[in-house]
Amino acid sequence: GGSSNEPAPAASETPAASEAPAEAPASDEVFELKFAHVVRPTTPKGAAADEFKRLLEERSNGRITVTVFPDSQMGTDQEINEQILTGTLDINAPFFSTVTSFVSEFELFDLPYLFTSEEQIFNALHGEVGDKFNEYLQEKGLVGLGYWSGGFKQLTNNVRPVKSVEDLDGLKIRVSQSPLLVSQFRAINAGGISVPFSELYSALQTGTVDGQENPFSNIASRKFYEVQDYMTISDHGFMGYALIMSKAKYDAMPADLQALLQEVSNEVAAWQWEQTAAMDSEYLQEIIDAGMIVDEFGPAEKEAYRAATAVVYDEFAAKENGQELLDLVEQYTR
Amino acid sequence: MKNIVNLLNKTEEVIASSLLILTSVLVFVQVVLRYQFNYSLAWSEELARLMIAWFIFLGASMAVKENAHVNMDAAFILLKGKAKIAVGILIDLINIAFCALVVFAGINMVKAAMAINSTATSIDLPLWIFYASVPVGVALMLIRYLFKLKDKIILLAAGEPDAADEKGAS
Amino acid sequence: MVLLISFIVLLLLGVPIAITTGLSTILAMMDQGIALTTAVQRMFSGVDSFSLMAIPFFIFSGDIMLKGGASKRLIDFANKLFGWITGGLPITAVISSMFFAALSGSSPATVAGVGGVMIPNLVEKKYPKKFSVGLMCAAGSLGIIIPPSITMMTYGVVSEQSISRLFMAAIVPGIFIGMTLVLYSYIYARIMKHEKSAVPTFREVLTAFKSAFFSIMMPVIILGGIYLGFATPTEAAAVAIIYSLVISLLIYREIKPADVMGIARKSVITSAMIMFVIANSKIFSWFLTFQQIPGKVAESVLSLESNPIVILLAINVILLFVGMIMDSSAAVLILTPLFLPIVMDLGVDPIHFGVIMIVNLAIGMLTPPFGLNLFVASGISGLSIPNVVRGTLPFIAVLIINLMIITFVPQLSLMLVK
Ligand code: NA
Ligand code: NA
Repeated sequence: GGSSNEPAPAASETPAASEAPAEAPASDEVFELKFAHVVRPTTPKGAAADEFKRLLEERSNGRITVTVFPDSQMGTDQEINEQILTGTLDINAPFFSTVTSFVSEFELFDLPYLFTSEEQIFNALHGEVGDKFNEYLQEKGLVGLGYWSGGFKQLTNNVRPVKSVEDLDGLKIRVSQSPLLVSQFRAINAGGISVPFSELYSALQTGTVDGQENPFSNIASRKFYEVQDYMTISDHGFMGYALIMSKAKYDAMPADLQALLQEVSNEVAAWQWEQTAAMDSEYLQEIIDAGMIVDEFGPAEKEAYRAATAVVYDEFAAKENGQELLDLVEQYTR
Repeated sequence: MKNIVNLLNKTEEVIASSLLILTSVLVFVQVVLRYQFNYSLAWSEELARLMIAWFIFLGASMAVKENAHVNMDAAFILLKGKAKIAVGILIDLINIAFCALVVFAGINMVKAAMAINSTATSIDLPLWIFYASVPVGVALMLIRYLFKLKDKIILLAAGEPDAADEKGAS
Repeated sequence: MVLLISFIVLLLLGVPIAITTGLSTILAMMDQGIALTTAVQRMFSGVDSFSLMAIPFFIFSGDIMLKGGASKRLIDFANKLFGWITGGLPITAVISSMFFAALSGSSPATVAGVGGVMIPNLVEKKYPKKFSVGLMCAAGSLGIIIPPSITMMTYGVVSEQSISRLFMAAIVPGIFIGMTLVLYSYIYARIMKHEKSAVPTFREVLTAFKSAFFSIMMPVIILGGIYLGFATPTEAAAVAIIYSLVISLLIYREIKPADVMGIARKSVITSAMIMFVIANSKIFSWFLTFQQIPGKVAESVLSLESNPIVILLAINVILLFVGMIMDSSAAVLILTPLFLPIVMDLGVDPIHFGVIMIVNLAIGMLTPPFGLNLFVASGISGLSIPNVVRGTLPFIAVLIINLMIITFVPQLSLMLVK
């Protein structure tokens, strides 16, 4: 395939002229955007990537084309982000935790019960909290176009129904590699064990670990319900995605296309959150139909969980920009 | 010069072999901790991956010295004498070109990781320490190929076909 | 085009396969103006995987067992038990691979785990090296067919099929392939009039068992560890290393602590050679995906035909070809979304198709130019790649016959599922 655009030279032709409106937009120039992500196109996130492509191509009258590489075809989130920074790819919607390697502030979202409703998170991420994160991303050469939702995380295990924090005592719960998640589960003596996501299904099946925490979408699409008996709807954490784009590529685009990018991103973000909410109930039904025994944390259990894991809030507050971010969040959670 | 090469060989071997042993012990300890104490070292998987990357790319250089990198040598074994050495030289030059490109790109990758200050997820180490395994290991490969090239050029200049059949194959 | 030409030229010239792959892709990337840092990233990513760690680990434990006397005892025991049967030893090797496949999710790890012990043994008992290596490559391909299998899990996620049902579906075809290899070994030994040992007395078996007891415990510990959930396959490989070190140093005392570094050095070189091939093939896989080449090829081939049998055969050919040149998980990710709707239209069950796909990709692991099993076998046996390839040819024929049976007899895959 020929490459009519080469990201790096294109970027250097228009040095940081993003603010000034482009006087003579090269209207015949076609911008090829390469959007890579790590999930199935049928998940809300994957569908949103396709929706993003559809809207951009339609409204730009062919001046923008988007190629979507789903299913980790281009690598892990971390690797895709690096390929964006070197100009090979342009867009990704990485899971927050995978962005922490260069914007460590994203660890914020690993805190238990930081938010209690999706509305709170949406407003925070598309308000001052999101602005703050966009600044951090900008410093690393990325433009934050918006934030997507993966839904709240739930607990599953193979040992017993978990109706309270105490029921978690002694379980081996697998978490992703975030230090705050490990501390969180250690605080309630529930392991906080790290197993690579690719080996998780087998590890759950053989009992190497007792349980795991993920949103409904992962529990259903990764078929964890085949190898887990109990689920607790705990909503103890949030899984979010940042829609990020190469700043060099963004800056190389004329002002009207930048505006279109923003417009489409906003629309798709709203659409994506609705999709996630709608799909979550379908996934939950799939999980129930698969025969999992489902419990739910009430307000009292959630309060107890948060109190038992308060130590991770202190841990986060002690980090760079930690306290500042917690204060910012507070105005959205009151 | 000979001493420096010997020192290089020895250091490389000791580091790579120790890393393999240490990684095995680390993963073993992880199993014991989890099974016996329901405890997990949050950083063990990442540390293990770091050590593996280093011993593999150091090992890739050791494999050059031992002629362990597999190839399709069907055409090569048909050749004899000077022609064989000449093809051997050509192959060495190609290998050197590959190594040079990878080292060059690898340095850029390390620099990029330094520039954005990226760190590993669970172990508080900058990512460039992970990535540096590639340019360092491949740079060592490059040095080895340079020595092989030198040997073959000397051999070709001396023009001893018998010795060529023995040594040219490497 | 740059890619294809430079690849063929470098390969035929005798440039190492890893460098042939890496350099030709790098040249193609330069031609397209793609940043080379991505190439280095793919190389790193090819090595940076917890699951692949099982390969160096099993190579290391195999080397320890070989030097430390554990392999010898295990082999003596196997010889006593099966040596009197025609083809007893290669049959033991196949069955060991089936058990090993049932604990490892990868084929090269299976070749490393069993081949490291069995190849020297087969050669010692006068089986030709090419036959021994070919057999182990073929039996090792069961690694991704017999569950658990990382590739099968990837298929399950992409095709949205139950992973448990897919695992179930692969059991009978896996055993079936194993049995054809057993049959092949039997016929081979019979035709070659390979000498057999005398039927052992119970006392002889007991003596060999006693002498090999701690070595026999090794597979027991690994299998048990995984099935009882103490360890993941990669972790079990590390447990195998520590266990084989302990029995070699403390019980058999055939090696001293000072020898361990030397064994590690050998294992480092073997595993580095293999992983360096993987690292470079990652650049290649990435580039093909980036250019969307496998998809384009598949689409254009499939658009030509409408006869169901021809389409299924064409899909098998494409899969075999892709399996020859690409990493199996990458192939599943790219080709499943393309093929699945087509074959479902033809009435093929998606679970059955998963098995077809896995068997194809498993065969790809012992076909050149990129057959990971070939590189592992070459590394542990010291046989050159062209000779390894020659050794595997008859086995590839056997596997392709198996593939045809599995493709056109869906009951084989679906009997346990329905
Ligand atoms: Na397996
Ligand atoms: Na192959």
